[in-house]
Amino acid sequence: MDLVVQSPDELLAAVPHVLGFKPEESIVLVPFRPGLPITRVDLPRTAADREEVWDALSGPYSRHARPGARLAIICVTEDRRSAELASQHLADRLQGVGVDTHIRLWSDGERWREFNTGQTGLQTPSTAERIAAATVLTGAAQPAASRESLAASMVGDREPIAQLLPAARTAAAASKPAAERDWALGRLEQFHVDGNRLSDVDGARMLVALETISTRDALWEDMSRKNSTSHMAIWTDLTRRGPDEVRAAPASMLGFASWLHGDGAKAWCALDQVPVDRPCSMAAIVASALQNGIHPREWERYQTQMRDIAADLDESFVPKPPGQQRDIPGTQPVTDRPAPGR
Amino acid sequence: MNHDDATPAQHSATERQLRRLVVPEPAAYAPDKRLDVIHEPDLDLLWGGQQ
Repeated sequence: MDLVVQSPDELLAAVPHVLGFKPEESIVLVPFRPGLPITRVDLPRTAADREEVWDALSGPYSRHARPGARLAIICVTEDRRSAELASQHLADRLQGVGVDTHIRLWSDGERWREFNTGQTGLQTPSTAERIAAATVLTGAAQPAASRESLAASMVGDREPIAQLLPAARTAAAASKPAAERDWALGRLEQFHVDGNRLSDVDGARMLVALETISTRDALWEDMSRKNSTSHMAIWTDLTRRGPDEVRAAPASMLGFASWLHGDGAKAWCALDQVPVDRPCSMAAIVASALQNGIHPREWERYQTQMRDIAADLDESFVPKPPGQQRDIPGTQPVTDRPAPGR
Repeated sequence: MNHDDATPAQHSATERQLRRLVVPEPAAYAPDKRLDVIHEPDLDLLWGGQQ
């Protein structure tokens, strides 16, 4: 069932459903035709900020624009003046790369105005409820109340696995990396099939196994656009439950899977779960892909080259923290390397 | 991939573009400057088949 938006009120009600969360103080670009992405960014309030926003958007929109491309600019803010200036600035710049802006819509949550026509109206709860009901029928997940609540959904009870980590490390040290890799791949395959949440014991074992780069890479290699939903599910769960010392890997995997799925907002939220004292170059790669608006299909197209080049450049561009291993695929020796502390 | 292959020092256009992927940690991106990009959104859900 399609929503088939027919009014500004309906469009405003539908935006959280396509974005995954309810935007606040934001500017959102919604295309009318396939080809361009939906993009959200914080509303710029100064001339310098407006230019900075365009600098960030110009790459993706120049690359993805096709003849006849057109979109709606939606500003959600109480600051109507900034919305009008920002949407006009953006529309002008988009015009320069061949993208027409057919709608410049502002809303403060209660009222809306279409800047191009001057048409105004009210946002009604009944419309929001009708749109929400329609999305339920499509099977789509309901949006988070805000971007903050989307981020909060990635934080769970981390104590149960924290208590099991010492035993998991002891067991891993008594095993062989290749055996742990095979177990991790098998457990991932089982998750793909049944979708059942890992037990605390299996979760601890998986997180310890991920510390061995060849194992993490084997699981990373398993990712494709076809199974990204399943990967998002398992890594969301382990990011929620993973203590600081082992969370960088699952959070980076979740960031990558989310990007592969096309969900930039969720990917950023995942990367924010990488502990700040544990730099992770996989996370850095995902961050760059997100900010540069790299399309997920590039993963399939350039998978090998990307990893190879990233591996070549990583040692030069990303400072290596003392005592911490790098984690770029392809930089490791052929033999398995045990996790630190083993 | 055979890492022992002798590869040219020059990078292709694609490779040069991919160089941009190696950047600072995520924390270096100010949260208020980040782009939330949804690729290949379900526009039929929004507009029906009448875009």
